[in-house]
Amino acid sequence: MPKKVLPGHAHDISRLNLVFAASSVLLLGSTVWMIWADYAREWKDYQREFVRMERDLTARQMQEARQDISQADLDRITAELAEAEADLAANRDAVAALEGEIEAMDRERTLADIREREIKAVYDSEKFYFEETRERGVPLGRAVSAEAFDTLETSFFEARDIRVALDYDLAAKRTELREARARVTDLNGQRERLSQAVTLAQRKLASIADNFPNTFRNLPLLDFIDPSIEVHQVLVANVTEDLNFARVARIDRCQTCHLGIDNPEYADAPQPFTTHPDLETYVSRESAHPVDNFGCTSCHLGQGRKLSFTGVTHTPESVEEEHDWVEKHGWKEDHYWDSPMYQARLTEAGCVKCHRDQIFIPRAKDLNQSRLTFELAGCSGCHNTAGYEDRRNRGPALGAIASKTNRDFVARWVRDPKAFRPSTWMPKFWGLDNNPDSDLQARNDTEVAAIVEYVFGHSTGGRDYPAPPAGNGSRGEALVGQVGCLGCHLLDESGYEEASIYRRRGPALTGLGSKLDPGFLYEWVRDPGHYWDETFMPSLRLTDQEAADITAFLLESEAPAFEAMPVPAADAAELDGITLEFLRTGLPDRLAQERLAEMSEQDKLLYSGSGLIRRYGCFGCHEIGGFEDAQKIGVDLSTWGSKMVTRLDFGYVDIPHTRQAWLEQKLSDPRIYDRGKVKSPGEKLRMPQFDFTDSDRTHIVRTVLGLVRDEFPQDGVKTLSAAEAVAEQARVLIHNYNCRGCHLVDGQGGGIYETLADAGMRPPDLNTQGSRTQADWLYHFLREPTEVRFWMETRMPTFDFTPEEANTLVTGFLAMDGGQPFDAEGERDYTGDELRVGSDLLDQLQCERCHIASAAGTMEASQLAPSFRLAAERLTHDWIVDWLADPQHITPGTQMPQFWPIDQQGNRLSPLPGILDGDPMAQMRAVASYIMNYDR
Amino acid sequence: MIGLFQDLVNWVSGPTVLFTVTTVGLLLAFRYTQVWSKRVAIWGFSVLAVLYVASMWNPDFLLIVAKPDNIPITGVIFLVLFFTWYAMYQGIENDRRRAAGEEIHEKKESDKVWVWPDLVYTEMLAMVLLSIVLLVWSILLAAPLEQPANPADSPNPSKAPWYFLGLQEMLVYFDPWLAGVVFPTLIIVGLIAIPYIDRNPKGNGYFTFRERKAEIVIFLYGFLILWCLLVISGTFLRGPNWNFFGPYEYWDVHRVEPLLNVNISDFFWVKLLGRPLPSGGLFAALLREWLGLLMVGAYLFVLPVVTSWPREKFPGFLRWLSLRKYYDRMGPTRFYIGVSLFLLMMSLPIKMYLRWAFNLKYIVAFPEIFFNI
Repeated sequence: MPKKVLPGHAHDISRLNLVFAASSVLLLGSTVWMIWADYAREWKDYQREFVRMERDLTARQMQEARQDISQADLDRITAELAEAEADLAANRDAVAALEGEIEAMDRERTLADIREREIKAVYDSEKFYFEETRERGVPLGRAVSAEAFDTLETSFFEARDIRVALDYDLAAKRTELREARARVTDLNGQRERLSQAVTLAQRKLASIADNFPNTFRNLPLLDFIDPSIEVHQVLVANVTEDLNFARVARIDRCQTCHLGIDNPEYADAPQPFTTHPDLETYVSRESAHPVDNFGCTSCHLGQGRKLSFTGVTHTPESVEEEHDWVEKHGWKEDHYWDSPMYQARLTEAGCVKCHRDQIFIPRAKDLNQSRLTFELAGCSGCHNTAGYEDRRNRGPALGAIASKTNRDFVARWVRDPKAFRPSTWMPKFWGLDNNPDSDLQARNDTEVAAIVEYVFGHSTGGRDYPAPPAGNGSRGEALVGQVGCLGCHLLDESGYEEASIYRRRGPALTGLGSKLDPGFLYEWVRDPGHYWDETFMPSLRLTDQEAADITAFLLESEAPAFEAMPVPAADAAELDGITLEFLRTGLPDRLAQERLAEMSEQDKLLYSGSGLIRRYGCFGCHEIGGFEDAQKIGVDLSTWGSKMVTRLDFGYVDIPHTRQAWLEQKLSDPRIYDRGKVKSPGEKLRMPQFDFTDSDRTHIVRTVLGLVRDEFPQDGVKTLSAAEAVAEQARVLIHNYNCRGCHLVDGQGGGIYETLADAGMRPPDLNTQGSRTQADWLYHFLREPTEVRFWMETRMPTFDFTPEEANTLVTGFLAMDGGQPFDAEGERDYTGDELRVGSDLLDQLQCERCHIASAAGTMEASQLAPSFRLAAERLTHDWIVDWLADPQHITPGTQMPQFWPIDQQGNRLSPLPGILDGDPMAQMRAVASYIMNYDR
Repeated sequence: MIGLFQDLVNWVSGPTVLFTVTTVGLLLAFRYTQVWSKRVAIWGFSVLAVLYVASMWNPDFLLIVAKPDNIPITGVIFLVLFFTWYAMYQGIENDRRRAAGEEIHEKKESDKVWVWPDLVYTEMLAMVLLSIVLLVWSILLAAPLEQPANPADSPNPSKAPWYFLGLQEMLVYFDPWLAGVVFPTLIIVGLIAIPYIDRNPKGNGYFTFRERKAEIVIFLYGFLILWCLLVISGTFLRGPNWNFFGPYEYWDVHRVEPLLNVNISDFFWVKLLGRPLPSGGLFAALLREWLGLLMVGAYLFVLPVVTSWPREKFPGFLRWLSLRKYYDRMGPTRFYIGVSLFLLMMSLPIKMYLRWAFNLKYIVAFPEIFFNI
């Protein structure tokens, strides 16, 4: 192209014009692109889809509402309306005259009102000048005389009077008209009320209709005015978000996409529209955690302010889900957000941050199990963990172990506990990823031998047990199944991961013949406290013969395969090496060698045993002489759930860099992060292998991930009310003594139920225990249990509660359900008539067919019920009434019938209309009164 | 083959090699000016661009280069190279014309054009085009926001904004008060002082190389090597723990580099004399550091005077040290200020080479008063 640069120009202007045209088009294009990029967001698609679902739902609801309208009612009203309208039409002339009158009067009244206000304006002003003139004598530019003011005042009052009179007449006329039309108006109202649901649905349907106004308000650039597609957010001021330098209010926009979260209608809708699975506890306005106060990320974590699927840090539940998400949403790990959302199955971890001080959180079913698992696995033995500081040692004291079992057993056991008892919580320390037997068998055996030597060297307590009296094994087996051992122990280990966690509190009762001294076992089942004063194992009040039978039975179980395992023995060279290793930590090599040469074999074993126990932290779970003040060896877990991922050593293990993945890997193979590393024995990872089942591992992951650093303002944290604090103290005892091994408390527990097929043989549900029993009776029962249900074989154990503990339990149960310790109604003197009515009712309802005092042949246990003889001192009057009113509500699954049921309209019905005028409340009260006086 | 090439590039990117190669290359380019031709430029740019784009297939390279934060550095590489070449090309072209007795390029153009439309129109076009670039850039790359700042968890590597990475690189070799306070101040003061020190009127209004050789070489060395190169390597090549990583290497946080740097006083007292460092009191401290103080003093205060001597005063092999002709041309004040600033600038590469060659930490070290050079 020839250059056409004109004189005085640096460029060819027509070419510049072309460049300008092109770049203008490009600028326009990129501007449009910018607007579109800003407008097209994934959450808007969700809202559009939800509106479509809402339309369907509302249309359906409208249809249902239409069908709900009773045609008969509608017809009746329509007919009456027609009649009423006909009446009105007959009076048409009178009504028309009335209307004409009202209209004329209204016109007149309007004029009168205007006139009054005109005069009043002048009057108010003149009043001011008149007051000024009279009081100050110095007219403010205008003097008003008394005469002039009086005249004005008179005319103002006249005008007002005219208006008031008209108002009065008008009101009377209007009432007259209303009365003439009253029937029609009323019937119209009735008809409207009948179809109210339909009208509401119609109105809603109109507001979300697919029409021009609704499209127009959501158009790009126009959608700032009044869009219907918009971000929904809640601002949570109490449960703050910790941004390290500042705690800021949480802003959760989750409901922008999770639109059906609080609407039960969407329970089966696909995500993100699904209803929250537990609206009774969360989200809804009536629940304990309304979304407006708690938001979503307070519990679930994640980035509440974000609006994109990936940005809010959703965490996939499984690898399959992850693949699915990657495909659908381009999901990826967001390593810029320190607290990604919990997996759905781990969500209860989020409870801990506010409920940390509670030993048991009634509604958090998974979490209670998780925290118990964490405790049973003894995690806090090595890892200091806030909230677990005052827990007793997890394992038994070893100060008298020599009198309980033998050295060979202990050596084999320490070497590989799971070989003896797969369900044991005792972990394995040797033959793992970083000390495999293939390389280090001699060293491993030597370490075990040294530790056993040390432990037995410090076993100074104990005594020589005489041989137990002879017992009958088969009687013992029956007893173990009946008296309640199985509330805390498993008898059969297979499938232990399925068993109730409460039954895994104590060791499984297997292989004891290979383990225990018979004399010890006999003494132990009779009186566990004699050997270890901190044990939670109670006395079941066994007779000597029963104890001998149980001992005989338990010793029948042996572990021959385990006994065939070689006993780990010290290797001289390895022992020297280990001893030297510890000596060298404080001494130069020359001196260490000299010291080693001076030591006997025994010295070396004891010396390295002590060093190894300190290294492996055995004292975290067991009381061992010489380690009374030893510090826990593990990392503090109190805030592990907030630990920076960058602070975790993933070593050469190729897993996602997340807290959860690291923790799961650590629990599956605790030494794996040493793989490929050069480490001296003292530097190696020490956490032992627990061989957790999948569900136990999940429980521990849930517990640990919940231990976060977050601190909230006082308003955000759960603070226990006075009653809750009292209940909490009782729950601590309930937890420690494993009451849930046998009883349901707060609806959870009842471990022993799985061994008792007959529901009637199961220890009772302790729901409403506080209001059920009298404080006095419960106190004495706890201290020294007495028989309540004569047919039951399981015994309430004697826990040797101190008076303080028994009181704590009694007041705690009372606090749990707001009961009163004393029962005024029960104390009252009843008239003979009252009691006779109660007695009649009892007879007619045949209560005493089940509530009997002793065995009655053919009755099944589940049909038996406690005798009324106990009621006077045991039960409370109010509770009996509550129980009669709705037994299933108090004890789900009970055989007790509900004699006074409630019909669909919510009215309580009486089975015996002839008594007490059929008043159900009076009847129930009469029954309760009679039962409370059964013995008198 | 590709692996070999990548190893080679990784090796060349190491600080020692990279610094040496680029310095030598730049100096050679000033000696053999025919390399600033259009042909070399087109070839050079094409090869560089192709290599750059092809390298995107390497995940480690892509990870660093494609970070939204680092996009400007890619711009820096190509823009700085282009404008350097353009200025040099024009200057050398003018020098050639002048040698051939022709008019220089700028003389051939009329020096007066219309404000409207020529100036205003082109300015507006530039505005429109830049707006397009910014819009598209902002749509395609989200703001590079990271997690909430956490005092307990500083990012690794912790990097200054890219335009400060040259300063941050200096921190590797100098005490913070020098690299963070004195040198930045001197850079600004020195840049302001340039027009007062360099009063050579040649080159005003036209490109030239021959007439301003020393000025151009010194400036471009300072700007390209001591600033841009440090910015680029600070962005692309400094990884976790401020370790050096080649462009095709994975930034492994766990990589450990030995750090065994020692001071001159250690060299003298411990290694040479085999005795402990003098300790106790001011005098002992001065005694301990006497060699370093002497070296710094000689460099900063003796060297400017010596270089002003005439050539005849030097033995033959040191004659190049004489800068007498500049002294004569500039006068003593300008000469001493100029030489001092130049020496301060050169202290950076000198210290860098001392570090690489001898693991030298400080020439003068008074940790007692946090004064180290």
